[in-house]
Amino acid sequence: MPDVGSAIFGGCAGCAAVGRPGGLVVATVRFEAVTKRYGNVSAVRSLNLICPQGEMLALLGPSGCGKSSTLKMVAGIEAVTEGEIYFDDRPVSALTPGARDIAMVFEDYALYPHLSARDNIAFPLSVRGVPAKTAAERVASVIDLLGLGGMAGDTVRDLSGGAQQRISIGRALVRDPELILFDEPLSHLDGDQKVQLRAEIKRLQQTAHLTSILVTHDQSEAIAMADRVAVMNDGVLQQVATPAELYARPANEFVANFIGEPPMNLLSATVEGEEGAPVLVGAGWQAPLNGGTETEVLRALRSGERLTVGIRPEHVAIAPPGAGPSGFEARVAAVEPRGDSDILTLQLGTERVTAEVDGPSRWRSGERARVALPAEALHLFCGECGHNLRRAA
Amino acid sequence: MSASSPDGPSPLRKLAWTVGAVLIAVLILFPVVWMGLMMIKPTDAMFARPTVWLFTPTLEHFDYVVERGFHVYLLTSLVLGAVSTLLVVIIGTPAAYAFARFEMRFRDDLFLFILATRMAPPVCLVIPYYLIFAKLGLLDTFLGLTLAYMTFNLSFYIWVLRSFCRDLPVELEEAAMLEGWSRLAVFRRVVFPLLRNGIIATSVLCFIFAWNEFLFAFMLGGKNVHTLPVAIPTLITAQGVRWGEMAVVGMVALTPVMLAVFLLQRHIVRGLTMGAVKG
Repeated sequence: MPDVGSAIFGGCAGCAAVGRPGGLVVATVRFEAVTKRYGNVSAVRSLNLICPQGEMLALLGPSGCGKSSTLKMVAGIEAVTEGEIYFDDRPVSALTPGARDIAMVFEDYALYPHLSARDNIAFPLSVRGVPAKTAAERVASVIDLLGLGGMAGDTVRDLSGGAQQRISIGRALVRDPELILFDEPLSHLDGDQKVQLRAEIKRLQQTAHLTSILVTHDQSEAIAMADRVAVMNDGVLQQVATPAELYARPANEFVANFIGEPPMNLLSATVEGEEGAPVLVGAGWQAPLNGGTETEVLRALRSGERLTVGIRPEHVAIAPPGAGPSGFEARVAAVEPRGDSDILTLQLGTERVTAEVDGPSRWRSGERARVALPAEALHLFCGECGHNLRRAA
Repeated sequence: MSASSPDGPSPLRKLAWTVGAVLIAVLILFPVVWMGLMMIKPTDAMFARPTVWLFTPTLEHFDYVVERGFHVYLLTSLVLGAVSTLLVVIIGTPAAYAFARFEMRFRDDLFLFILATRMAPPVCLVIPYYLIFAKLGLLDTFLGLTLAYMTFNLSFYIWVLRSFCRDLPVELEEAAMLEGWSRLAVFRRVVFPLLRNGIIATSVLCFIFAWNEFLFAFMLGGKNVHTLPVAIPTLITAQGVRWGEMAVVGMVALTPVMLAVFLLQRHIVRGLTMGAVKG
């Protein structure tokens, strides 16, 4: 859909790709040592992060991790305690929210209940004193773009959540801001509308090359929509990477456990065996490391060192008992059918391990099985600080 | 449709409800009707037994009331109630908003302090008020009584309106600030329209308080500032109680309150069922 960009910006598709009418260019957002404190509580600690021009960056984490505070600092609704936020090379933390040229889409839509859908979308233009004719054209193009034509005259409080959020997105797009912030935009929508709007936001963001920041606690949302995901916990940035990278190479135990459903298995283990050919030994299982891990990581391991070993449920190899010499005995403690896959809970000595197999499978709870943890699928984390040893190496 | 129909009440049941409601309404309205009759009843038929239902209406009670200057008292009450309520709205609305939205030191203590001004029975306060007003020369002045009414209506108003403010989603204000509006513009153009129902409902209650108030008006008022509630007892004279005149004044006193409630009914109902502003 090449004319989507022009529908928003009023230029041709070519202009939209290089810049905006009036010389506005979508910004790169850069956080430098940004800290937010409420009294003695640190909500965000020394955050360094870049959201490149035209990309969508997701801030992902459990509630209270500082992602919303970060977004509100970008918007200017919350003040920055220390550090600075730059749009391109322009420091913005001293600017009022209105001077930052940002649009925001809120969790609760934040539409004016007494206005119609059209008036809500037109609101930012009327505030800025855009001439009525230009404003009407832009509002009409946004209404078209979002397929809101049928409800443009309706009062918003009578519309469904999905429609309200689309109007709210329209309000954000209509004045073509430098940056769009999405604050949990899909949290209050139900399944169908959620998936539909998720795709819609992604499409708009990509075709119009909008720089945008998405705050969410839902990893599937972050992974589906964002170009890059910044995982936060307890006010500290854990890792920022593409969704694929986060999945394949989590920086630490927190990210490993947070990304992926069902979450990665994390088991304690001790390094044993001779140098250069170490074996991981846990409670009721062991796994040789040869062939699966880079030599420099292997060389750094010391016998007797304690590690946390991670393996994703879909990488756990499971076979009927007596199927081969490799692996070790386990008992199937529970089976949770999910249609296209089955989630098995395996009792491995004193540890419990989740495995995901193609479904519907023939595994029944109580059965014995032969389980192997393939060396190439193992993630090794420092037993003390939880960092991924492979990344550190 | 049978009487035990599962979908909605049967016609019989509906009829019973209607009859019940009408009976209750008659019970409540009877004194008002009776008062209405007393207004135009000749004095000698007033308490005749058996009750006289048919009589030649008279305007003598009206004449007496006007002769005694009750229309001035009515005006005094109206002005006092309206001005004090207006000031309460002008001062109290931003105060309630600030209490709801801003973090500040001692906020909750201050808020409790404001409420505490209403905890003492008015009788305890009226003597200190009298002494202070006497020193300041505020006795028997409009300013004095306006101030007195404001002090106890303001605390009530702020207390109630704060909860309306807290029910407003803060995102609405954040969204408007992102569009470049100042906090003040947001308050005036976003918060105020959304609070309208709450403001109307609460200020009608404030007006009724001021309208009905007797004690302060009696103690702090005088020849210049004489409100209706203070004037009514003067109809209990040494020659007897002037029932017809009392009925006239009572009916007149009832009118503004009824008018306010009827005209603003929609807002009051919405305001009193809080959370109506949520989308």
